[in-house]
Amino acid sequence: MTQPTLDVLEALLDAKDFELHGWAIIKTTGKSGPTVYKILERLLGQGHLTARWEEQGPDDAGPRKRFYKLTPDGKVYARTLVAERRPAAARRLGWALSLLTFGRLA
Amino acid sequence: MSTSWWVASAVGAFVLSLIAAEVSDIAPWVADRILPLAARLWTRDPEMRKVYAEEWRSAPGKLFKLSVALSFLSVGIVREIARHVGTARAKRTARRSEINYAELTVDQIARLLEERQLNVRRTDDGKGIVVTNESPTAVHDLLIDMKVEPPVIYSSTSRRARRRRWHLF
Repeated sequence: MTQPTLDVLEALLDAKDFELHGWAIIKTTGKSGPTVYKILERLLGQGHLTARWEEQGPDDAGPRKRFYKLTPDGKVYARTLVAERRPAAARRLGWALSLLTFGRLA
Repeated sequence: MSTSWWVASAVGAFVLSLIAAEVSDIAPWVADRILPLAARLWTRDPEMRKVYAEEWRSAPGKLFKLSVALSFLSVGIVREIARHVGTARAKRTARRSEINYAELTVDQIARLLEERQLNVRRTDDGKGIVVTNESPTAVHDLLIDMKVEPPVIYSSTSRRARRRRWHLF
């Protein structure tokens, strides 16, 4: 597990509806395009993400953006990883507590 | 500072700003032409090539878009090279795994090569074979096709190479 992968997962966990488009992920993580897209490719292949095209109206011009969203499995995967590797970030977003509760219930 | 220096600086700055404006204007056009190639090198999946080509076109800015296109292109080239090297290595491994490692003596191998019209002679220490009318790769492949584990073979395809040193493979 690389730091850029954790950056991408953290950005998605922090996003509204756990969804961001590719350029937003690049901007949030500060990583290069190829680095981020390699990670997105891998996470999509593992089933942790789903992708969808931006819905454009007839008046919208320009190329469409593609949004990446964490799947339910992906959320658990991302939260577990971030809580393990970046406890400070997990605490900041309140995941550690929920994971702890989840762990006690399980 | 002399007046001519100031004039030269002003003209230089003006020309540079013109060039920067031109580059900035044509950058998205260049990026749009690079991105389909970058997507083609990035993945072998035809569907994903279309997806990436369109998605990467939505990069914001002019110069940023060009820099993104160039970065995807460079990584795509590296990926493509890695794919080719990996494929060649996999083929070699597959071919070698099919070999029945016949325990042939160097004499027997020399005879087999002579039957294939190759000019063969033994090295001075008697442990190797010198092939003078074929490339090392071709002899190696020939031996693999004959299901013979290649021994240490030296080959020289030209007088110049002979003078320089024997090829070892």
